[in-house]
Amino acid sequence: MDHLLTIVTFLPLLGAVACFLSPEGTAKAVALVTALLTFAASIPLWFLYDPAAKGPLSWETFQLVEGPYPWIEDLGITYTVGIDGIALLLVLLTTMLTPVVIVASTSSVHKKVGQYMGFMLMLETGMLGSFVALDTFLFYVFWELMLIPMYFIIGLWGGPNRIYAAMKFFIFTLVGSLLMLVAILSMFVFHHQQLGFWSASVLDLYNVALPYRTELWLFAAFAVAFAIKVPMFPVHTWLPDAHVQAPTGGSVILAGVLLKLGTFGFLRYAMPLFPQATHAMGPLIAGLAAVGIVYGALVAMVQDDVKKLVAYSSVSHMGVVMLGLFAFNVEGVSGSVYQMLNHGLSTGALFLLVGVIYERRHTRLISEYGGLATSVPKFSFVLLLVTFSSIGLPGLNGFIGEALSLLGSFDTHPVATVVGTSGVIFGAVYMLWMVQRVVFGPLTIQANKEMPDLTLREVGYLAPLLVLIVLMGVAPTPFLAKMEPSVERVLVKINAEVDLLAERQQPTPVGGAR
Amino acid sequence: MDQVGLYPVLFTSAVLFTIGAVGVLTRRNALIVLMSIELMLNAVNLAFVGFARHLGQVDGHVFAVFVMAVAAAEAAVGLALVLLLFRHKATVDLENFTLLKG
Amino acid sequence: MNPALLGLVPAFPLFGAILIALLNRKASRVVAGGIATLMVSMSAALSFWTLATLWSSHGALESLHHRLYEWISVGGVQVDIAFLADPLTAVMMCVVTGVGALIHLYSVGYMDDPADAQSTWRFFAYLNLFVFAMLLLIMGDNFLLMFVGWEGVGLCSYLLIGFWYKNTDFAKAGKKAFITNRVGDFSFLIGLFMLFWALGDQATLSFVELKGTLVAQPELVGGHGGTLVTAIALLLFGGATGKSAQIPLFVWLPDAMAGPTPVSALIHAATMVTSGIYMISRLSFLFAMAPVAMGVIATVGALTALFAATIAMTQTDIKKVLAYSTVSQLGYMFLGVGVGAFTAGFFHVVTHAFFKALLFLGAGAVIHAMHHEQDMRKMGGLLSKMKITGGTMLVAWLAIIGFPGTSGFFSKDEILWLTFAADPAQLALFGPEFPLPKLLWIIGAITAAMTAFYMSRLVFMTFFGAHRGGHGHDDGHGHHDDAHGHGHGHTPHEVSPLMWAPLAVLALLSLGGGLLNLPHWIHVEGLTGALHHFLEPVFAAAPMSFDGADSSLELPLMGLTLLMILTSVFIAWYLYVRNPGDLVQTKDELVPDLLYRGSLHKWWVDELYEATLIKPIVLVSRQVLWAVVDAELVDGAVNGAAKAMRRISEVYGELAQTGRVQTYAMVLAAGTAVIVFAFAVGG
Repeated sequence: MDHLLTIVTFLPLLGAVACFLSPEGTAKAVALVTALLTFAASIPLWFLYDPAAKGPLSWETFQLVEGPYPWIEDLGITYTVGIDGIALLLVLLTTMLTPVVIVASTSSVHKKVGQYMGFMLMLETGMLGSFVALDTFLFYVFWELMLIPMYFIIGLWGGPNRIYAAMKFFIFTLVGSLLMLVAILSMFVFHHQQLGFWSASVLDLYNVALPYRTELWLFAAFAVAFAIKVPMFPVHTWLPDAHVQAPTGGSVILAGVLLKLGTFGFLRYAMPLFPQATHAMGPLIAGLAAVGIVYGALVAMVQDDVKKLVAYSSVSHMGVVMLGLFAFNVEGVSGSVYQMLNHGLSTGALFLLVGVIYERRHTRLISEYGGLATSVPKFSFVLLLVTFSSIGLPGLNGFIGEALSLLGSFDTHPVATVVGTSGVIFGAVYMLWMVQRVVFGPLTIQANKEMPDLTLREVGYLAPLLVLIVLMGVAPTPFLAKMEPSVERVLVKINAEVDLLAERQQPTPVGGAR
Repeated sequence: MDQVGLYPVLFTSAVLFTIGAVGVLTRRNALIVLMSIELMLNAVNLAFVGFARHLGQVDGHVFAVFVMAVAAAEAAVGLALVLLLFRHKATVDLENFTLLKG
Repeated sequence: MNPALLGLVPAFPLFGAILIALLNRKASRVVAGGIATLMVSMSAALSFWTLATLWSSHGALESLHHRLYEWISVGGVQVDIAFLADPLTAVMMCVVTGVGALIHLYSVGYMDDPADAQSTWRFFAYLNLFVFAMLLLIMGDNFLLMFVGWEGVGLCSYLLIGFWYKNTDFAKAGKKAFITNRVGDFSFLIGLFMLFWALGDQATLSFVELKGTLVAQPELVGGHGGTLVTAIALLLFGGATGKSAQIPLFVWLPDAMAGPTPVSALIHAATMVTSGIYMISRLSFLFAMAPVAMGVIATVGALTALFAATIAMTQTDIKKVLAYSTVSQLGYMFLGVGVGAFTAGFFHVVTHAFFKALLFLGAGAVIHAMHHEQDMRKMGGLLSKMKITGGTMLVAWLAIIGFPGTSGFFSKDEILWLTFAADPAQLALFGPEFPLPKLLWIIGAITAAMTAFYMSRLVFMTFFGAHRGGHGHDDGHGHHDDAHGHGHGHTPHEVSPLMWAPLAVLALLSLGGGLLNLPHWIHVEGLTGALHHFLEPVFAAAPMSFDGADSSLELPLMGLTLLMILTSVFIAWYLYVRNPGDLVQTKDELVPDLLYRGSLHKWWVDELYEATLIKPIVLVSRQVLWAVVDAELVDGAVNGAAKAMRRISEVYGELAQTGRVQTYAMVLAAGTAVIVFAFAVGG
């Protein structure tokens, strides 16, 4: 069990190879077994991770650490993995969503099933690796590894405009990640200059102290990469296209996990590596996040395509996450991490539900539906539950994350928070309007009358999400307890040095830190 | 022969190389281009030999022999390619071969 | 009583809702209704036990408290799932579960339309879920748990308004209710955030702790009358305007009448809509610190009362009249708590729950008997056909117009008198000297007269005169689009005992509810000011003074209002019973056309919101944000960069990419020459 994280990370890759090699018929089974095994292997992480560990951000507080095993010794690049409470929850979210997606995809993907499943598993390795990597270069490799399978999933199994969407996704993400690569390499050099040895470990890089100007440039490079992934307004336009064109499984993984890599990146890399720049840019990013919340909601409201609506709702929800992150206090950041999980569950479930009706009717236009509550009551009930989770009804998961994020950020950025909080209104507007047009009203279209309700398989793969949606709303404490010490540690790193530097009479940062 | 210094040899080599290069770059007949390449190779050979003598080392001679072997191989392959080109379009005028056009 | 039993109060209805949902179609109307009624009755029993425990302790027992488990614990946010029952909670619990149980029972009889047979289980599950959420709202010991209930009742309201979801208008009404409430919630949340951070190290979300902190250190929120506390109070009140349908967010409540009538009675009259007043009463210690906010609350309350009353005067749909009447009465309650008469305002919550629930249930019985006819112009003379319903409705009518001796008389009168007598400094909206209380009293008295008129109009048009129903049955206001199982055109008949029994109980309560809190000029040992004394500890931290007027004026003023009320009743009687033929003529002569049409069209408020808010937002979102910002600016920039690159490549390709290897070699050689030259020159 010394190498549990490595096993969890690379098991899907093995499965992917098996999927590529196995005949069409057995690929589904191979993929499902692999994904379930990965999930099973990841469950012990929850119990092995002990949030009680004390101390600052260091090798002691990351747990289940493996390595450092030398990789490119000249530059100090190693294979090092480990988790904190934040990564733990995101790893579990990933391992849980992947089997769900694989089951859901069995009915939506019909050509080249083996390759599809292979790419899906390869993607899982990329995502898990990005969460567990403690070496910046290793992180970058996993980060890029995610790009390739997602590109193919959209480009090969997507809708009619899939090539455009896949290219857009690829180019947007790549522009960001190349900037990030430059910044990572610069950090190597700065570390070597200041501390005299080469290291790529993020914990070593945390010790680099940079002049304010330099921080600002490097932060910007990281921030652009992560902001595109989140996606933040105004670099979000790849998301609606990617979602609409991607097959259901691709959308679920994209919304459920991939977007979290952006916010996770801020929390693990951009913010603690460059604390001064983080504080200086805080108002700007919080402002963009607030604008994104309202903007995403308003644009979602006027969509005719259900999937596009859900895609824009992601822009809005991830704005809340960003607002919480830049609260710089434990309430806001914890809420933000919680909201990452919530968004993964509820938006993932929404995409699955859109997939369910798409498979039956082969249209995603809202106007093609109406009155579904009469013909498919189970589906309608689930959609209603997920909708209320998505708009943050207290008692369900969405509320905890949203309320904590906004509460936290109100202290730091009151104006942006007030703007962002208006998202609770617009969120209700676009979701309930959609629900009203899809589920309620008279049943007029013949094809909708004959629509079969959720099958046992569909209930089966939706059930884990629904259970968590309720559970995480009623009993959030176990989840919050896992992450809170880690969040505090990161915050100490982000806030302490700024306080220290403020004492040393640094020139006032541009953009006016608080 | 002993009285000839390094510089005349290098000068001759440079002149030969330039004639060859100009031939490669400007002639339109593929056969002449090939011949120009031979000229350039031999210019290099001359430089090798000249240096070898000047420095009293044998390496230059060895390289010259290598280049001759390569030149022979190159001529064989090159002529074969020209032959194929001729079969394809019944001409060896390079103006007619623009497959690399973007 | 063991405080642990408090947890059971909300648990019963929750269990009921889950049980019914599990049985779903297997549960018939009677089974589902039976389970639901039983569960609420159990809660009611426990609630009365709680009330009795607190009451009998005579103030020795301040409150009951029970903590179930830790809900959220992050940084300064430490929130438990815990219940608090102080006198205020206990009274409210009894109202919610007691009236709730009666309405559940009534619903078993009401929901007998065969077209709904497949979905009555849903109705009762939602209804039980509502009671659960309402109990969380009132029993939660902290802001967040209250907010769970606050939104939970909104959810149930949404589901129940849209119960007949096949009708698009009904589904829209549910959505409108939820979204309008969300606007209020937005304000509430911001107020909550401000309050939380104002407390700094002492940040807490628990009501008890908050009260302790603020009483000990009022300077944390800027002290008495401070800007911060005023802003917080106003923002929290913003939340109340949503839930309790006050100006400017009242528009959802009339539309909410799309729900089945028992829903209107329970949610949109007796319980949910009063949660705004409950919230302010619960936080009286905070609101009392902000006189400007109190002035705003009282003024908004009075204006809403008046405004809604003007609309109610011309409506013809029986439920719409009652809906506007509810908005108006809620305005009274806000007037009460706004002037600092927390007990009086809350007393009106209780009596209003009795008589308004009765009015709605009575109207429901009429609608049921008339086969889903809601237009009062098609009713008339029903008293002889429906004696019990009619009789109980008359009792409710007397109560709501404030006929002496009825419950409404005592509660309304107390609000009006305390408004008149309130110290102007307590409502310093226009400065401490401005006689705002007197002005508000005038508005209140006029509204009382108008209330008397429109309620009399309702009763007279429905129960007196000749029956105008006829056989032609128009389903215009109707029910869902399924055909009714009933035969059409039957003459109205009395409803089943299952339905009239709750009416009778509520009629008794409407009549005798005044006994809870008799005014000081009626001396009955143990009854005079009973509620006031019982609630005193709750409002002790919010001392208010009512010596702004000479107390000898109290009875004369009451006489004056009474006279106005009786005059209104007489006018209504004259117009609708004595001489109904004169009606059109009188109307045209007396009332300017614009006023009449304004009232009939609800002063075009919905249209105003539609034109100034909803349409522009949708239009901007579609035409500007989506079409221009997303498609043109962002994507335009991205795609434009790609296009520019392609164009550059094309031009370059034309020039350089000739396909002739010799050209390439030439460039290569030239490049080499340049580099060699550079090295030669640069050394």
